[in-house]
Amino acid sequence: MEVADRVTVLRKGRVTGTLSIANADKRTLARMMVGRDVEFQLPPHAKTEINQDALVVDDLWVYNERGLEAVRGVSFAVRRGEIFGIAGIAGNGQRELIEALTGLRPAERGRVRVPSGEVTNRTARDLYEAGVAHIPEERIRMGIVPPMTVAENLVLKRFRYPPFSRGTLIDFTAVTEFAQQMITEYGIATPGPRTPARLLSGGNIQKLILARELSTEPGLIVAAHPTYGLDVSATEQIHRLLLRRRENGAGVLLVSEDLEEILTLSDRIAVLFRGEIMGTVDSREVPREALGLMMAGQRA
Amino acid sequence: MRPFGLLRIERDPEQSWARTIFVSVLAITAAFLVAGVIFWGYGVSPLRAYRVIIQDTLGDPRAVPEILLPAMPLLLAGVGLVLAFRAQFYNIGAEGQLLAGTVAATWVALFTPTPGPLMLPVMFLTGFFAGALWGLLPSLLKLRLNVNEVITTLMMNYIALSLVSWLVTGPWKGPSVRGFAYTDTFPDPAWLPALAGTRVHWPTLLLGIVLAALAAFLLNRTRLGFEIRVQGQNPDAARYAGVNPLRTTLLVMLLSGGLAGLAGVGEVAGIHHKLLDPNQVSLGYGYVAIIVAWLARGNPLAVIVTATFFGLIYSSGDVMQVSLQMPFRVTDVFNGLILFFLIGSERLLQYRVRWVPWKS
Repeated sequence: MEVADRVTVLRKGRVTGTLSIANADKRTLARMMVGRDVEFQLPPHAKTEINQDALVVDDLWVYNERGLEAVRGVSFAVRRGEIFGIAGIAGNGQRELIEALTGLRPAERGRVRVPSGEVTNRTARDLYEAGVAHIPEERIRMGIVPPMTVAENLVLKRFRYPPFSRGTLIDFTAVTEFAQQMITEYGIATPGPRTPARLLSGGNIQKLILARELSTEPGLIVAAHPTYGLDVSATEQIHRLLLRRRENGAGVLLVSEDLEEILTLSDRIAVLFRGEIMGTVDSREVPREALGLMMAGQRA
Repeated sequence: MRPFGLLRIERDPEQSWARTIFVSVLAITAAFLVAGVIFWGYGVSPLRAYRVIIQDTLGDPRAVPEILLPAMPLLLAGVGLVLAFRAQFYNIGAEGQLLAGTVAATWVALFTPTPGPLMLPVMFLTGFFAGALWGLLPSLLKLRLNVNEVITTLMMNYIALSLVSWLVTGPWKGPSVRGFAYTDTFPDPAWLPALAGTRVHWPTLLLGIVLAALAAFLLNRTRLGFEIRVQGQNPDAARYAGVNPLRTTLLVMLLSGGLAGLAGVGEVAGIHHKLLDPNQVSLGYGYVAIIVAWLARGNPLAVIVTATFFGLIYSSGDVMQVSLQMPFRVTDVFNGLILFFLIGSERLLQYRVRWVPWKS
């Protein structure tokens, strides 16, 4: 918008239209790109009055693969009915923090608590059973098993529990039924539940992951770069899904490099720099420059 | 996508069964063509060679059962290997696990006071456990210390070979004739019944078919099967999804080793009725089972077909040596060529070639 004189929009291999910049605004362009109206300004945060913590992190220290401190004494709490954003330039400990909170990396020191109890250094399965959902940063490498079907991916974490499992056997009828439900409810574009997941587009893979993670109504959702690489339509849908969970009382820990996403969605924002929290601010009150300074290492 | 003159080579997202079979047949045909060149090098016309082979393996009613003899251990070991490969555990140790099974069966038959009617079931059970145990050490090493299982399982084969050699020439030595060492012959209850007029010990075949079906059921219908498939197709997602890699891989290896052990029991109880020099007990079955499993492309039921096919190859090898005076190792050459072309054709499964004439 700042540099061009004219803009041409392509959709599915065809030109949708050409405008001069003077006539182009975000909303019009988005509509031309996607084919329908896209909400950029999501409804203002209705403050949910639940005063309970979905997640408490106390003095957490986590090492990376090379034995260096990646997370250094981080403490924060995510309340229920709140989206807590963690901003920061990639490589400042976000990955290690998320992995420690989801059972994929050990914490050297410190404690992690959720409503059902203490979960420090518990396995990924224990955390799932404690009501912690994890939307991973690498959706294809970690979030799905690409050769397996959409239905199988939708029960990737639930297959061992009833109603999908009876004794040692898996009830594939129940799995397919559930998959149909999820495909409709979350708008996953797929030829069917038996389609291999790798044939889905990035946005639909992410919707699959969200369907899987959110369908159990978890108390805490850890979302890592949830809309990375997705188009505006998918981004909007995913934001809506997270906000809806927030309204229903879940706590959401949102880690993202997209500052706009953090500002749009979060109630409170903490900035991570070199493994430490530089400051925690209310999203409505903080000016962008202050956030930028914190991301560069200046304490609030 | 790569242009190649008027052709384009591009990734094909859909991999149909028909395509897989077509490519496999293509690979095997290529192997046969190259083998034809080798025949020609020995002064045998390839056409005559193949005609003789088909005549003497499939044409002679006495020879047809001989196809089943190698097929049986290949089936059992092959099913086990399919399971291991689906979990991405590259078990090259079926040979050693098979020999472990033979040792266990021999021990039960000759050195335990097992009552007659229980003899065969106990032999199969202990053979299974022995094979499973033989695969345990490499699995633990991989899971705890990340030691490459290809190497450890391979090395265990040599240990098993030496163990069997030592047993038949040492503590378990029976009568020996002209330097061939072997144990005493098994008592009657330890002999597997055979089809009339042949050496086909059919209980082993039945066992193989039943276990192939069970393995398919395991993979596709059970929780463990689901975990095996997740673990095999994306270990990162498996961790993320809470699948315990230790438990899954261990269970798969125990099954894989156990099945190879069963193959060993079949050989000593069904054909030799004693324990011999290891190279005479297992004619490289553990290694050929790898090709059998590979060709089955992860489907336990398909092993029934591929094992029979390799039974035919073994049988052809005998014909080549006897009727065509080819050297002893010619079967190995055949097998090697088939494996070579199979692996080499993997790429063809993932890519397709399209004719794209230039438009100016």
